Amino acid sequence: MVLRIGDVLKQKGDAAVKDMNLLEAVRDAMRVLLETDNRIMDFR
Amino acid sequence: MGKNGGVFRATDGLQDQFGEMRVVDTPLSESGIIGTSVGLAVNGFKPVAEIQFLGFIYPAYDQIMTHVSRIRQLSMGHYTVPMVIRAPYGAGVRAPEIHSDSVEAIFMHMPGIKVVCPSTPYDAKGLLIAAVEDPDPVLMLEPMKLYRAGRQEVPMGKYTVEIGKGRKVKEGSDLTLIAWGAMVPVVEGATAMAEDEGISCDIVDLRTLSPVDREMISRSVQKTGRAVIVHEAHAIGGPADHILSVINETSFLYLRAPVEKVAGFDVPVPFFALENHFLPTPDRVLDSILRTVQF
Repeated sequence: MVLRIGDVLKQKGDAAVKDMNLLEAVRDAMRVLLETDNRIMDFR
Repeated sequence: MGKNGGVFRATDGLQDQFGEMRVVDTPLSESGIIGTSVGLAVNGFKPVAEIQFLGFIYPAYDQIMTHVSRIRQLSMGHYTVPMVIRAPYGAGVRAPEIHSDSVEAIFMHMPGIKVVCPSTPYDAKGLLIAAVEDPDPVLMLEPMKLYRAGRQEVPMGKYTVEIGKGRKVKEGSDLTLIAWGAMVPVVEGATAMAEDEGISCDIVDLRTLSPVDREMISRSVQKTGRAVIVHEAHAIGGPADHILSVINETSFLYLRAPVEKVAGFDVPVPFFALENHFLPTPDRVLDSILRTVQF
């Protein structure tokens, strides 16, 4: 049986997961970073 | 590019959400993007600079080599450069010239900057957050070919993947396959074919190229006694040569066969019509596996 990351988190009581591709995961990381630290800036 | 979220739309919507002072449009000047980021980083900000393709980073090489990587040492630790450079890299998406380069070895050779490269959505998010939290500069290489290749459940909150630690993709006993980025699915394909030949492969996804996970490499090679390193970068002076030296230093007496590398050929990455002939394939990896096991 393959245990998926979501299954592990649900066992821990945290169901806050979402299906993402790699590009969306990068975007989600930037969202989390920009939300949590106002020193972070995105440059391009 | 801020409005569009970059060429691949990696940061689509973030400028609307966080404003133009946090998600900043820049001129298409790689040296300027990195130079401005250096100034911000030494003054307390944490810039994440995106180079649209790794092959476009060459004009910024001077900034990275002479400032980003060495300000900590030059200032005797008074200043650091806590910045991240993101760069899509690699071939396989039928892009024109210079868009498909895989020159990670240039930056592995550069002391003072770490190099990470995810192959899964989970690792992409965790490594990027870890890179931003790192007190020193990190280059994150994003395999373009894998951007939309597959989906995975990813936590919505904050988590990190430790820099410097590889990921064991598969346990095996006969041979170690070492890869990263878009070459991980390639070695997985070769492994499936090798299993038909009765060969069991251990697969290591390095995830960090500088510093490499010496412990995971040596533990796996000492178990199997054989190794094949796979990368799409050019063969001569490529990342495999450093990994070979790690195997030589840590595991030479365990080897039952010479270590092989499967790499991009030593020509500029060709136009899209020929790129599939340039890139390592499961068939080429299988040839190396068979040669190594039958040595």
